[in-house]
Amino acid sequence: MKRVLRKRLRIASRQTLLHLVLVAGGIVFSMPFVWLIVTSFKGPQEIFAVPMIWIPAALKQAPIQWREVFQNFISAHEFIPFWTWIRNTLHVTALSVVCSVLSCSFVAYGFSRIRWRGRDTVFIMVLATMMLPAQVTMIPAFLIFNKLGWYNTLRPLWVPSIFGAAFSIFLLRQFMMTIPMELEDAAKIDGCGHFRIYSTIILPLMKPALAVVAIQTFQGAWNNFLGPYIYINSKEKMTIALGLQWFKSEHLAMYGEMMATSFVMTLPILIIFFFCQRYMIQGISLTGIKA
Amino acid sequence: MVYRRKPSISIFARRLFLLAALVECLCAWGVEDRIPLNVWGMNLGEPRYGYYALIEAFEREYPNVEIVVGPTDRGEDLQKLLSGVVGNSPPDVFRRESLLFGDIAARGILRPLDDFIEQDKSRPDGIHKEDYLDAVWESGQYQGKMYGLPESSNPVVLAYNRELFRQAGLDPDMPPMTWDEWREAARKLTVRDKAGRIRQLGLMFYGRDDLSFYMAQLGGQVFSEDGRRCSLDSPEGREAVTFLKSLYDAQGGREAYDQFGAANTAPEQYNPFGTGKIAMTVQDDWVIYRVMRFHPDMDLGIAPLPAPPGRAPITMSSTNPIYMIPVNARHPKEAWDFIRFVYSPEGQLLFADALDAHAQTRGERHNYTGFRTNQKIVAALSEKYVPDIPRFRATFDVCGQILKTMVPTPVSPVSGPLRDEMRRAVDRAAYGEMTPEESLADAARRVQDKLDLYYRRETLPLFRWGAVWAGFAMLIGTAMLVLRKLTHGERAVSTLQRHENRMGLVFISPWVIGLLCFTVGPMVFSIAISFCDYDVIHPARFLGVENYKLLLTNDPLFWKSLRNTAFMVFALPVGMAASLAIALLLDAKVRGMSFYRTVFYLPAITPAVAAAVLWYALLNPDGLINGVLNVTICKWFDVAPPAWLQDPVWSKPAIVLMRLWGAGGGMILWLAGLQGIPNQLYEAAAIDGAGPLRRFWSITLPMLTPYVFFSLIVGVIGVFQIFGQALILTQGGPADSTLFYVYYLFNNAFRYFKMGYASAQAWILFVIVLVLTLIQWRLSKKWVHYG
Repeated sequence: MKRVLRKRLRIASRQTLLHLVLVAGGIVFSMPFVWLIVTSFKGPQEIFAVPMIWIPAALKQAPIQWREVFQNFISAHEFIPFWTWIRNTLHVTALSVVCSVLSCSFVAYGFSRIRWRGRDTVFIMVLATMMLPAQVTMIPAFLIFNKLGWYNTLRPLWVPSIFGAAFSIFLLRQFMMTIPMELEDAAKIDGCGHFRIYSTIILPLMKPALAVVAIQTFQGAWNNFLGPYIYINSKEKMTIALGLQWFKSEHLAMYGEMMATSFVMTLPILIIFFFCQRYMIQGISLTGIKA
Repeated sequence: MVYRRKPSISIFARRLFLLAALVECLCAWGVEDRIPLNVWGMNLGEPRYGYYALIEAFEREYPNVEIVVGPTDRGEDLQKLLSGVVGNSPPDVFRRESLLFGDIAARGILRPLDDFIEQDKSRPDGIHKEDYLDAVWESGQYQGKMYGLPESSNPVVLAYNRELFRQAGLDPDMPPMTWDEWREAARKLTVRDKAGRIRQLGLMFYGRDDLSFYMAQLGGQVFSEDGRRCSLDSPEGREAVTFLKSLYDAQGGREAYDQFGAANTAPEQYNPFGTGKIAMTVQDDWVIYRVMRFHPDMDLGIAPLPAPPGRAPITMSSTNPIYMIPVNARHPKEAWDFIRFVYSPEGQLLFADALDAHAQTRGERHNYTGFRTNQKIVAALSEKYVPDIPRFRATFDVCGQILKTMVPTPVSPVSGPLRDEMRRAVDRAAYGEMTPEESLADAARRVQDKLDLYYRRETLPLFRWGAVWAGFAMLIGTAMLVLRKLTHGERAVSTLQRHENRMGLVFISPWVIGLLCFTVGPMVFSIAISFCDYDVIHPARFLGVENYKLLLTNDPLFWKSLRNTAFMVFALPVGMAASLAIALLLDAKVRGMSFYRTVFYLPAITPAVAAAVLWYALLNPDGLINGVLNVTICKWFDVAPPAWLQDPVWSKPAIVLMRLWGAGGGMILWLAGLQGIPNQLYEAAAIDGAGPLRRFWSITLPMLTPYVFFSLIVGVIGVFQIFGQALILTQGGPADSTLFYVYYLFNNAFRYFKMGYASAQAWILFVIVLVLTLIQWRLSKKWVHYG
């Protein structure tokens, strides 16, 4: 009885210690982000005040003035076409996610479930392209999209994802390699072609890995700054990640509004991550990075 | 057996594609009954209230035109304008600070305005040369043609705090007139505490230590008469640099100056000049407005900038916004209408009225309009808007006198590189890295190289693209042959295998198409232009290996950027260790883990622009980080906290710190690795009596080696691409200490229009990354453990 109690006590103290460490680390790591959130409620005078203000004045008033609390959100909304930019961002993000999930899994199927000569040699080429710095192709790609008349459209931002991304192909291929081949033998005997096997057998089994690719693509497209920076030049075509810099230029620094918009923009990813992180980790873990 | 037809993902995808097509159509569909006039570069700070009023009035007068406000300027690169012109989607009106005007005009991407000016000759609201100061009119000209209309004169003046003069025993009515007096005053006005830290600074340049101005004061020129030789290394240049260095030295050296100067990032209310921490500053006339508005109690003095002995004082524009029309603007006539409207006395009055009205909603006045370039406008505005407090009125009048001594800003096809090199020349001398002679010789040589290239390009042979396309076709042909060989082999195998071979190719075809269109094609193109002089606008000219030669033998910045990047590579293990530590912590089984994981992951999902601003605030010398340091380490050891991004020594560690914050992003991978380790191993070890540390060394780490290897390879590639932080946070400074490889590449490509040079740089980068990866691959056999 005593021993059980002692063991429980040990576990409990271990847990408490872990929590303490986690909370301390969490505070350090979330501090900048907390600053972001707090700043989005601050007035312009409070933002860079020394010493730092942790509770904005607007929140301290006795009968709380909601309009004043959300002042930055309101004026940000008046200053930028928020919903247009969100629509553009969603447009690019949704298409990128769908295209890359489909094409990467399709290509990965070709690299794992079909035995064709030279497969592994070609696959090394896939890995090799991961090494090529994006800057090598940045300028020519710009000229190509420009020739197509796609400058200042959203297409250069999502069309490349139709052709798959090396890292995602790699991840999915590793995952597919772990699925036993016998699984599709029955289907083959029934005369199923590869397309059918791909869409009815493999894809449904791939959900965790697909989730990883989807979430990573989502995050990449949602926060993409350089792509729109190069290809978009009009206000009505901007995405929100690029649009954030409207709040800051040589003569203008609407930090409060910028932080408010950043806060709103981070929320979707935050929520997705909170609920999906387990699948993300599982997805990568199951595939294994091992070549 | 019949397969149940589930609505498979491919059907779902088809629907999504249809939806996407529909969305695309809807976006393109829109009834335009008015001419949309794209105007870029308006100051969207407080002046936006003025512009909005102007736009409203303009649209009333020209009901067929609708003004669309485009992006404002960001940084100093012209990437937006350039790609807009090349992409045939340029703005109609482009308003820009004059700094890079020469570069733009020389590229032939602007429409000359002379015909418009001529045609409006008899119009009372036309643009007439006689209304302008010659020096200002010249700054809109390139090779005798008018390409841009300068809006504001902004003369640079010496602004000083009369009260601090009195305290230091100087006569506030006798500001320094000569360089020697100036240096003496700066020395006397600098106050230090016991630890040697500057409490009060004698003189702050606010970035206005341009060499060209101080050379002009000595009667020197940056370029020879014909504009083909760079004369930065002339005796005047040396004298000017030596003088600027002595100004820094008089206040305790450039490092101490930087330490203090970092505080100028504060908003106006806390501006150190306004709050009496700086005695003298070099600023343009708008300092009057800022002092009136934010520090009305300050005793402001304005004087001409001190001149070298025996010379009359002169001044120069700080930065004057210029209105331009791109050569392929859709609606040049309407664009000119708009410029003329904005720049009429009526328009400017409207602008000023709107700003004043807005200020009055705050209970203030906006009665300072500065010095427009058009003298008629200055007269019209100053009837209504002049400072009403006598002592500020007096400073305004002094500025008016100074304005008459203005000299033109040099306009040159290499004004961008020139500016950067002048800054470097002064910095290197001030930091004591080089003597003024060495520093200037180096700067002059590099500006000269760029100038030579610019003037020589006409004589170079045009690049023959035929050979490139033939090479590309051959490459594809060979690839197809190899593939065929691979899939078919020497002799045909079974029908089934042949079918499989075909299907394999069908399945990887999206990737193959992408590879050809977006990787191989661009690669061939980029190799080709790396041997050319190419600025996107003009046809490419063949240069041979000159770009590579120049990079490797004659470009110290290239090496500096490489060294800066190498620093970050060596800091990589720190980040990896941090990620792993976090992952170990987050792998524990405690309640609420998804919450903790999200908290640690937060940094990875913060938008880049927001993260940059955030860290800018945190790393501010008065920011949160130094606040914490001040009460801990700095207090215990009695040292001053670093100035982080303002200090060349600390700027890279600051960026390492910032990236460390993002370490949570890498944790996902580590967590996956940790969860992939079979539990039996730990159980067996526990039975053998291994402690937690032992278990980590003997099981966890070896089992994680494939992940270590993977993150090393990806990490090195990632480090070489560090870019965003430099672009948004530091612009490569201070003293080029954060000029990372890709940022320098980006500058060459999109700021100096040197696509060929940038491509050569990209290929050198590729070789570096390839070699590093191969080395790691080789070494990995020794330590990576595939379980």
